Amino acid sequence: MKEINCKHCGGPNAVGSRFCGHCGASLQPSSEQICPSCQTVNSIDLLYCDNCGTRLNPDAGEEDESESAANAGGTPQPFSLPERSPGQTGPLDIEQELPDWLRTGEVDDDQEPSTSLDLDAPEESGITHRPQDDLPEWLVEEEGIGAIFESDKSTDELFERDSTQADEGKDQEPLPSWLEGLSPEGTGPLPTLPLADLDEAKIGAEETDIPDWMAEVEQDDDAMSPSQDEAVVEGVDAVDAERPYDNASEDEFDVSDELVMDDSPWTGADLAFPDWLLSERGESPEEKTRTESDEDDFPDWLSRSDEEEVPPDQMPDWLRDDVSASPAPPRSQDPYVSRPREVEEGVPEWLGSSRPPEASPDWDADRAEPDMADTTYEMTGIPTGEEQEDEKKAEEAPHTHSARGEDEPSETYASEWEASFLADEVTAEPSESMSGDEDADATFLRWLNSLEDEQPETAETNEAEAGEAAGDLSLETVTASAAESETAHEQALPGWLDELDEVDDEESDTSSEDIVAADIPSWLRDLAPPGTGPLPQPNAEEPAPATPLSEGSDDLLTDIDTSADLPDWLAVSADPQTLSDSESTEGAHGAGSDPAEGEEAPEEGIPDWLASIVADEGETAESTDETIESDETLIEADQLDSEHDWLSPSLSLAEERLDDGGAEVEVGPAADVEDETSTGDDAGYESLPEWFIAAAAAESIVTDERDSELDDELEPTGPDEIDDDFSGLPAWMRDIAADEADSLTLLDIGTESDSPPEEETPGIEHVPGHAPEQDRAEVTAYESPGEPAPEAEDELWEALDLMEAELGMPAAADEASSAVEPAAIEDMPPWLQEVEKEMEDEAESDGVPANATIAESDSEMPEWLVAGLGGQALVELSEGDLLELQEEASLEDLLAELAPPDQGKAADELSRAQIPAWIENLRPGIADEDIDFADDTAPESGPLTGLPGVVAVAPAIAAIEAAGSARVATERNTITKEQQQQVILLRQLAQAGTVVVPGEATRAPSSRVSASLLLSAVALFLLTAIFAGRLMPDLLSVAPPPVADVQVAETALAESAEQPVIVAFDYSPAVADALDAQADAFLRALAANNSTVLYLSQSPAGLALAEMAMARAEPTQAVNLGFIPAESIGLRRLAACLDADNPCLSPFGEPLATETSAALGDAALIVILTGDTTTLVDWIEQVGAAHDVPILAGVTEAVAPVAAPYAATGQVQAVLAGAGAAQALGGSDSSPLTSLALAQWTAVALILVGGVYFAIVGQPRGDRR
Amino acid sequence: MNLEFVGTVIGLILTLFIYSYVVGDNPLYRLAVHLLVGVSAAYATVVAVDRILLPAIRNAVDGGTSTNPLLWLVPAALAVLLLLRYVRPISWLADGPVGALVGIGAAVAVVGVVAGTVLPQVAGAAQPGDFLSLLAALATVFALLYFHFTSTAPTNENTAPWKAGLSVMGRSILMITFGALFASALTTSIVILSERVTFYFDEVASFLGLIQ
Repeated sequence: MKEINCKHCGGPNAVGSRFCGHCGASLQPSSEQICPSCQTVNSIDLLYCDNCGTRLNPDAGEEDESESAANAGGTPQPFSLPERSPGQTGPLDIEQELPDWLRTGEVDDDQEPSTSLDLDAPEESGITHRPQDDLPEWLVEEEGIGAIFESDKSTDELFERDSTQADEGKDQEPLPSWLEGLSPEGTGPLPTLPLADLDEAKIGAEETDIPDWMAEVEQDDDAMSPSQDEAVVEGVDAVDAERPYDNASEDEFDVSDELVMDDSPWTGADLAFPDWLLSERGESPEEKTRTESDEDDFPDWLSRSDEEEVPPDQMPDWLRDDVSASPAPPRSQDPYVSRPREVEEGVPEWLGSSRPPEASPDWDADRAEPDMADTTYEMTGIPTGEEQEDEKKAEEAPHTHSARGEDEPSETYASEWEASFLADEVTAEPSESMSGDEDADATFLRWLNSLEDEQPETAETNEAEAGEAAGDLSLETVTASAAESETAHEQALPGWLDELDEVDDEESDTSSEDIVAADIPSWLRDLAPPGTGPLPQPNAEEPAPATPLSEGSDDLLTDIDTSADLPDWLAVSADPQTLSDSESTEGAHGAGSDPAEGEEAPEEGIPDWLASIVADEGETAESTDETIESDETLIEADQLDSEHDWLSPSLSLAEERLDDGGAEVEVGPAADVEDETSTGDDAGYESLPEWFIAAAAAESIVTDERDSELDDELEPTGPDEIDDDFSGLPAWMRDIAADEADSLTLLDIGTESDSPPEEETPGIEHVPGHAPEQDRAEVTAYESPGEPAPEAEDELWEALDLMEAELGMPAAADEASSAVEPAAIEDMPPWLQEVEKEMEDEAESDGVPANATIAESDSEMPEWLVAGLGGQALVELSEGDLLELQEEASLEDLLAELAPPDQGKAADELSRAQIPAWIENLRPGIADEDIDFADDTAPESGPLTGLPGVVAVAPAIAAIEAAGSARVATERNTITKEQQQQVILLRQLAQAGTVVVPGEATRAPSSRVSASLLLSAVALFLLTAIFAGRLMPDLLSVAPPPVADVQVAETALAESAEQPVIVAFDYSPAVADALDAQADAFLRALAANNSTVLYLSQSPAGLALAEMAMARAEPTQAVNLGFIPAESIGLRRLAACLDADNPCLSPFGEPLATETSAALGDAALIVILTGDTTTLVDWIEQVGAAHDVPILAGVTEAVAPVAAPYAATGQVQAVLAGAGAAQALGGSDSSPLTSLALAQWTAVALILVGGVYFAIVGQPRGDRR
Repeated sequence: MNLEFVGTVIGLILTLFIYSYVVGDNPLYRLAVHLLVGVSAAYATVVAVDRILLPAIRNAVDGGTSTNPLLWLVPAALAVLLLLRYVRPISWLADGPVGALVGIGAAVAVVGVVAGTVLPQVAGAAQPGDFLSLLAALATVFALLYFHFTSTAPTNENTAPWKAGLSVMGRSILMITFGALFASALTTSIVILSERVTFYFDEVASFLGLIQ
C-alpha cells in the first residue's frame, strides 16, 4: 500500500487521502502559491515570482537547485545576489554568505596536503562542516565555473561550454596550488604540480625574473580574474575551487589527451600556463608532487616529450638540435623534469620554460583564431635572397608554400592570411646590402612595419633612400622600405589585418604608425624583451590622435622602469627617457626627417634586445652601417651583465649560436644569408616568447572584433589600439592582460598632456570608500620588505583600481576583513590575507564579531561582489554609504553584466530571479509604491460589504497630507455642486421617515368607500329633492319671495323703454343654468318695452350664450357689440362711448357704426348678467361710476352678497339673484323653485346632519390640513 | 332626431361624467373636464381671433376707418415682446408689455375701486340713522383690525384684551361673510344642479312623451 507523507507533519497517509489523518492538513497539492514578497499568486510550478522575481519557496528552491546541481549537472545554475527586504537599509549581512573556510580561514584541506595553503584541518579547528556546504550554489556547482577560463567569450558561451563539457565528461584544467589552497573541502584533491624536481633556487630565480607588476597582477588575479565581460560572475579562486579535480584522475588529466581535444572548450592556449606563471601562482618550492593535470601547462610538444618521442619536425629548431645532440633525459612523470634545460640556459627561465615549439602546437592549432604558432614558424623562416622567388610564387598560390625554402612538399598554410602575410614579406624587398642576418632582422621589422598604414610619401621615400644608401638596417629604414609597398602591404595583410587596415583608413587622423602601434598590444610592448627593438611609434611631429596603447604603455613603463623588479629588458624598454627618445626618434624618422638625425635614433630608441642584435651583427658581419654602430654604442654590456644577470645567459647563448652559425636559435641577424635555417633566426623576434608572438597577431584580430565594444565602453580610448586579447596567454591571464590594457588606456587618457587633465573617464568610477592608495599600500605591504615599492605600481594600481571599480571586482576585498587564523593567513593569498586581517581588526575594534555587523546578505553572494559593492568591507560602511553605493551606476552596470546566460526560457526566468530584492528596492519610486492603499479585507458593513480590495481612502489621504500636499488632497476631494445636491438628497431620503401623504391613496379603503358613499348619498338626496320638486311641484307651497329689487328693476326697465339698453352677457356656460332664466326675464322685459338691446360680453362664450338668449327672447332690435377684452380697461373704454359727445371706437380702435355709437350714447340702462363678482364690480366701478346710467344686475346667488352693498348705496339699481328673482321678474312657473327649494332644504339638512355626525364621530384625519 | 337633441344627449352624457366625481376621481370625470376646458379654450381662441385679430388686421390692411393704421404696430410690437418671455436669454423683453398691462390695469382698477367702491360705500355707510350701515362700517373695521393684529402679532396670553376682542370680532365677521358666500355658492350650485336635472328631466320626459 502506497503512502504519501503529509507536507505539514510528515505523517503517512494513504494515497488518495485529501487531508492528513494526523494533522488535518490538506494533502492535495495546491495549484497556486503566493509570493512571500509581493503576495502575488503564482502558479505552483514557478520557482520565482512572476511579479517580483522573488523565490517563491526558498527552501524548495534551494533544494531544487541543489538537486538539479547534483543530478542534472548539465544546467548551469546562475548565482544570486544578496537580497534585502524592501525598505531595509544598512550593510548587507554577508556573514552567512561567506563560507567558513573563507571567513575563518580554516579549510579542510586534508585532501591536498601538498598545497601551500595547508590550512588547519577541520578536525583540528573543530569545524566539522563541509566547506562545500558553506559555498554558494554557484560556487559549488561545478558546471558553472568554466566561464572564468573562457573570459574571451560571452557568458552564454561560457555556460554552453560548461554544459557541453559536462556532458562530454571532459576534465578540466587543474589549478595552481595557491588556488588549490582556497579550495574548500569537498572539492576533492587538487592536482599537484610536477615541480618536485625544481629546487628552491630555481624557483626563486624564476620569481625574481617575474616583474613585480606582473606578479602582483597575477596575485591579484584571484580577485580580478572575473573579467569585465563574462568572468565577472565568479572569482578565479572560487572557480578553481569548484573544478572537479578531485574527481579527475591523473590519467584523465593527461596532457596530451587534453590538448589534442579538438572540441574541447578549453583551448590549449588556456591550458598552456607557462611554468613561470605556474610558479608565480603560488606553487611553493616545497611542492614535490603534482598531478598529471598540470601538464596542460606545457605545450603539447613539451608535454608529450616525457611519454613519447616527439617528432623532430614538431620540435622547434632550437630544441631539435639540442635533442639530437643530447637526448633528453628520461622523464619519469613530470614533464618539467624532462624539460630541456640546456635550451633554457640561454634565455630567461620564464621565457625558456614558456617557449613553445616552433611547430604549431595543438593548443594553438585548435584555436579558431589565426594560428600564430604557424605564423611564427613561418616567420622564423623568413625568406632570404633565393627564397624570395618561392615566396613570390607563394604569393600567386598562397595556399601552398615551402615555408623554409626546402625541397619539402608544399605545406598547406594554416590560413590564407598567413600566405598573404608571407607574400607581403616577399613583396617588401629587403635592401640589397643586407646580409642574411640583416635580412632576417629587417624582415621581422618589416613585418612589424608592414602593419603600418600610410606614411607620407616623401618621408617614406627619403627614409628608404637614406636607409638603402647607408645600408641602414634600422627599424626606420626598414619601415620606410616596407611603406613603399603600400599596395602590396594591403594585399599581403591577413584578413583580420585587412579589416583593421580598412577601418584605420577610414580614420583619417590615424597615421600609419598608429596602426603599427595599435597592432601591438600594450602588454606586448611592455613585455618586449630587450632585443626586439623599439616598437613602431606614432610620428612625433604628427602626434597620433590617441594611441592609448602606446601612450599608456609608455606611461606605465615610465614608472615601471624605476622598479628594480623589472627584468632588464623590461626596465630598458620601460625607461621613460628611452621611450621618449625612441618615440621622438621614431617619429622624426617616420616624418621623413633628415637621415642624419635618424642615425641617432637607434642609439637612443632601440632597446637592448635590438641593440644586442645589432651588436652581434656588427661583430659578425662587420657592418659599416653607422646606425648599427650607434646601436652598438647604445648597448652597454656591463650594464647588462651587472644589472640583468638573468639576461646574460641568453646573450651568451646567442653569442655562442652566432659563433656556431647555429640556425636554430639565432639571437642576432648575423647568420649566413644562404643558410636556410637562418631565415628564421631573426634574433630579436626569436627572443620573443612564442606566446608573445602569437598574441601579437591574435590581438589584432580580437582588436578588430572588439573595436566597437571598446569604443562604446571606453569612449576616450581612441581607435583600435586597445587590445584585450592575448591569445598566447591562458584565459585567466588573458583577462588580466585585457583589463590591464583597458586600464592603461584609461590612464593614458588621464595622463596625456593633450587630453584634459584628470578627466574623469566615463563609465569608470571609483567605488566609494575604496581608495586606490589603500590597495596599493596593502599590496606593497605583503610584498617582501626588502623589495622597494616600485613607483610604477602606482599607475598600475590606478589602472587596477579603475578596473576594479568598473567591474566591482574584489580588489577592494583586500580591505574586507575576516577572522583568519594566523596559520590560515599565511597560507592564503596576500590579498585574501589582507581581507581576513581587516575583518578581524574590524571585529575587534567594534567589540563584536565582524560578521555581526552585517545585516543581511544572500547566501550565495560571492565574496568579490561583497567587497566590490563597497570597495571595502561592508562592515565599514555606514547605512548611508551603502545606499549611495547601491545607487552607483557602476553597480547597476555591474549587475547588468551579471546577467545569466541566455539558455532559453528557463534561463530567462532565472535571470529575472537573479535580481535580488535589495536591488529591486533601488528602483526609483519604490517608496511611493510601497504605500499600499488597497485593503484586501472585505468590509463587514456599509455599501461595500463583502467587496475586498477596496481602496482605503483614509491611508491615501493621510499619505498625501503627510507629504504636505494638502492642496492636492483638497483638490482631489472637491466635489461639484451637483454632487453636493445629490448628497443632500441622499441624506434626506435616508433620514426622512415615512411621510403620510394625505389623499385617497393613504386612506383606508373603508374610508374611501364611506366617503364615496357619503357623497353619493348627498347627491342622491339632492337629486331626489330636485326630482321630487319637479315631480311634485306642489309638494312645497313655495311662492316667489317678495323682492324689492324686482320692482326697482321693473321700474328701470320701464324707464328704458324704446331706448337702447346694454345687456352684458358676462357669464360662462357653467353658470348658464343659473342666469339663463334671468337673461330670458330681462330680454322679455326689454322686448316688451321695445328697447334696443346692445349686447356684449367680456367672456368669449358669453356671446354664444347671448345669441341663444336673443334667440329665445326675440327682442325687437338687437345690436351685437361683440367681445369686450381687457376687463376693466375694456369696460372703461366702453364707458367712454356712453357719452354721446365723444366718438366711440371699438376696443380695436375701429370706429363703431354711427347708429351703434349713437345707441351707446343713448343707452338708458345697463343690465349686467354675470356670475362673477369681479365682473360685476368692474362694471360698477368702471362704467357705473363714470356715468349715471342705472345698472341692473342679474347675478347668481353666489355673487348676490357682493352686489348687495352696491345695491345699498344705489350704484346698482337692483340685484336680481337666483331662480326666485327670475321667476319673480319673469313670472315663470314655480316648479323649478319647488325643486330648488327642496334641494336647498336638503342641502341644509345634509349640512346639519354632517356637522352633527362629525361633531360626534370626529373629523377625519385626512382632512386635518 | 335633430342636432339639438344630439347636443342634448351629449350634454347629458357629459353632465353625468362630471357628476361621476361623486364616486371619486375617474376617467369619465376627467374626460368631461378636459372636454369642457378644451372646448372653452378653443371657443375663446376662435372668438379672440374672429372678434379681435381679424378685425384689427383687416383694418390695418385695408386702411379701414382707423385714423392711423400704424398705431397697430404698437400693440403688435408689445404682443411680440410678450411672446419673448418664453425665450430665456431675452425674456426680459417681455417685462415691458407685462408691466404696461399690470400697471394700466392696476391704475384702472384703483381708480375704479376708489371711485366705484370705496367712495360710494363710505358715502353710503356714513348716512346717519342707518343701523345696517353702521353695522356694515363696524364689520368692515373689525375685519380690517383682525388682519392687522393677526398679521403682526398673533394673539396670545400677553395680547391686550381689547385687541383680542377686536380680533375675534373681525374673525367672526369674516366667518359670517364666508359662510354667507359659501351658502350663496352652494345655493348657486344647487340652482344649477336643479336646473340641469330639471332640464334633462324635461327633455327625457318630453322625448319619452311623458310630459308635453
